[in-house]
Amino acid sequence: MSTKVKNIVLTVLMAALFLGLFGWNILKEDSTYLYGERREPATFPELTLERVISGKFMEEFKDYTLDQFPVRDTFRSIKAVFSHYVFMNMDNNDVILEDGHISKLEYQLKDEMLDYAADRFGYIYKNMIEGTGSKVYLSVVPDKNLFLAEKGGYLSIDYNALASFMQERMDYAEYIDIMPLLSADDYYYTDSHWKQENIVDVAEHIATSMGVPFSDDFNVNTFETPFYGTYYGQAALPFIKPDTIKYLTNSAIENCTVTGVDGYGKDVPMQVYDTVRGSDKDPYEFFLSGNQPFITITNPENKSGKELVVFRDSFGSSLSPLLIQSYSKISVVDIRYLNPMALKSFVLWNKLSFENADVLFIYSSILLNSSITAGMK
Amino acid sequence: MFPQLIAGPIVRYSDIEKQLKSRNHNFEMAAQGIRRFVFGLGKKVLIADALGELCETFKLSDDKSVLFYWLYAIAYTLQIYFDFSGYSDMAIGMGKMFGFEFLENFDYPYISGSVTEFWRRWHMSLGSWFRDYVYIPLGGNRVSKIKWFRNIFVVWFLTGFWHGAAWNFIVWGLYFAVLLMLEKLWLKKYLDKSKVLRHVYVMFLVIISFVIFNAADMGEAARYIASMFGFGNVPVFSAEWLYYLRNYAVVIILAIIGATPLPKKLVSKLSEKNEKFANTIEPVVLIGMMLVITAYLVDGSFEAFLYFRF
Repeated sequence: MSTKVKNIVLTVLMAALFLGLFGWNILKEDSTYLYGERREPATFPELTLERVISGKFMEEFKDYTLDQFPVRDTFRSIKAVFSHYVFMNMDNNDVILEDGHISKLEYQLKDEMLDYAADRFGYIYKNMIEGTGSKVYLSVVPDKNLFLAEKGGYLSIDYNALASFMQERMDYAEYIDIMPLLSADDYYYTDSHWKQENIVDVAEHIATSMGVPFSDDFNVNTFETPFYGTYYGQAALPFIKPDTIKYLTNSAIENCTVTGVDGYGKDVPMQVYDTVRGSDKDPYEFFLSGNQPFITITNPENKSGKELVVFRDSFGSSLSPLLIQSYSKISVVDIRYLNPMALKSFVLWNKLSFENADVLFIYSSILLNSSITAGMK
Repeated sequence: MFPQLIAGPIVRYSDIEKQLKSRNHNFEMAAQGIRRFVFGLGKKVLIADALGELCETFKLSDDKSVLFYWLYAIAYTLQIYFDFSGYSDMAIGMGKMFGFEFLENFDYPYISGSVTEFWRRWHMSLGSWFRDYVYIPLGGNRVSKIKWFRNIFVVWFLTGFWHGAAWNFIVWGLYFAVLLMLEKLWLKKYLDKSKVLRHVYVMFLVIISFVIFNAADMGEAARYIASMFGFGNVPVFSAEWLYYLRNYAVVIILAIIGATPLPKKLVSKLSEKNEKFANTIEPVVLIGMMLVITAYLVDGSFEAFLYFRF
């Protein structure tokens, strides 16, 4: 190609690229949901003279154009590939890839966050549990960086320090150490959560530590919808395969009754495994329908009358069904969606009782280490 | 979505007076402008912004160490060059697309053999502006030694002040005033003796200068510089230093190479050797680069789903 032709080709191609993207941006219908980031995109900002003069309009317009950019996910993939293979960055937006696992870099132990979580648990203990004859247990679920970081040379938090901190602050609870039972294989490749089919030993250890019988006889089932975990979209790497959700059943799980509550505290029938939610935006909500403030699982097969109250995050969604065989009733409480002060109403309405119950606080290190919503404190 | 062109060379009316009335528009200039603009944008988005992230991470880190301070100082020195020269390239490139020929603003300052040379190669339009509008009207160097010192101090005080109304900028400017005077009076003869040593000398002083420049205040500047030399009550190594060194190693190496004339020389050699091949590959490389830059810009709004908290 002669220099003259090259100049024309370059000018025309670049103009076509600019004008093409410009036109596409204008003509393209706005997205309503960014699946990769699991959030709603920015919408076209309100256009007023005041907002234009203050600079607010342009600021929001920039967010809007970036969120609504044509083939946004493809561009994010180009960036991820370039960052990973050309710049050889160890992480891209703090997302790491090690041994086929996608994970998120988290390495600073935030004392104020742990303090906040311990305060919340302490409030519940002091106001609702103390003096009821309950036995209280604590367990911390490490995030998978515990198993990936050292091997890949990544930074990670000091999980033992985190567990010790929580144990010290929650001296009313007996600590059940599940970390030695876990490995990277027990977590999904594309998600932060653990696999239910791999945590039977964890459930057994917790059950035996709480002094209740446990059988590891489960049937393994496969939920056919491919599971693109929360890290899949964040990583934006094009060659990652989805996970498969497997779920466990036994007679107790098949015959139990699951009841949730609506916004007014009214009972709502639910299922242990929610195939509708499993096919929606966050397939991990397959387990106990995901983020629910209060769930009761009743097991008619267990006549012991023994009850368990689980304070949990999403990791507890897949664990709780495995424990139902050992109890007549499990109450699953998520204080991210239910103010601990409102929990007293559930006791008054006889939906929840701590009398002689086992109480398990089981939380992931990810949540404990970032327990305060930005701006809350 | 594109960075605003708020920086670039200082273009004087006298330099473009004729071009405002009459200039050429052709594919050759448009192509040159596009190439310059894309490289400038690439310098800013791919290199400077990445190094900026590293500097930001360092500032927020609770695991600082002597080597992490040095990594920060080197990263910032490279960041500011790629950021500012990138903006200047974009401005010059856009000018070319519209038929303007703007003056160059950077000439590989980090290959300089003296601080005097550094300032002949760094932000050239600012240097010439202060020379023509402050230094020469004050008498330049054709005055007594005392007045000459005064002139240098005034110019560099104003140069610092021009960058920002804070003491660290003033100190940064005066720091160069002292260095330039020392070189003129005494150091020059020693610098001419070793090519390697004089380069190490320049980069060392420039790196320190940018630590002062980027500090929030003089207290921070003093703390940072003390820590770089082991007086900051921090360990020599830290896990974060090692991680971020590995994380940004390629970017830093590319930035160091890119701050020298080596890439330009290689491209010129390739063009001389096989012009047809170079002409064919150039649009492909530039379009590819533009797509990668766009990808980085689009990803800039990435916002991970936050694990819902209490």
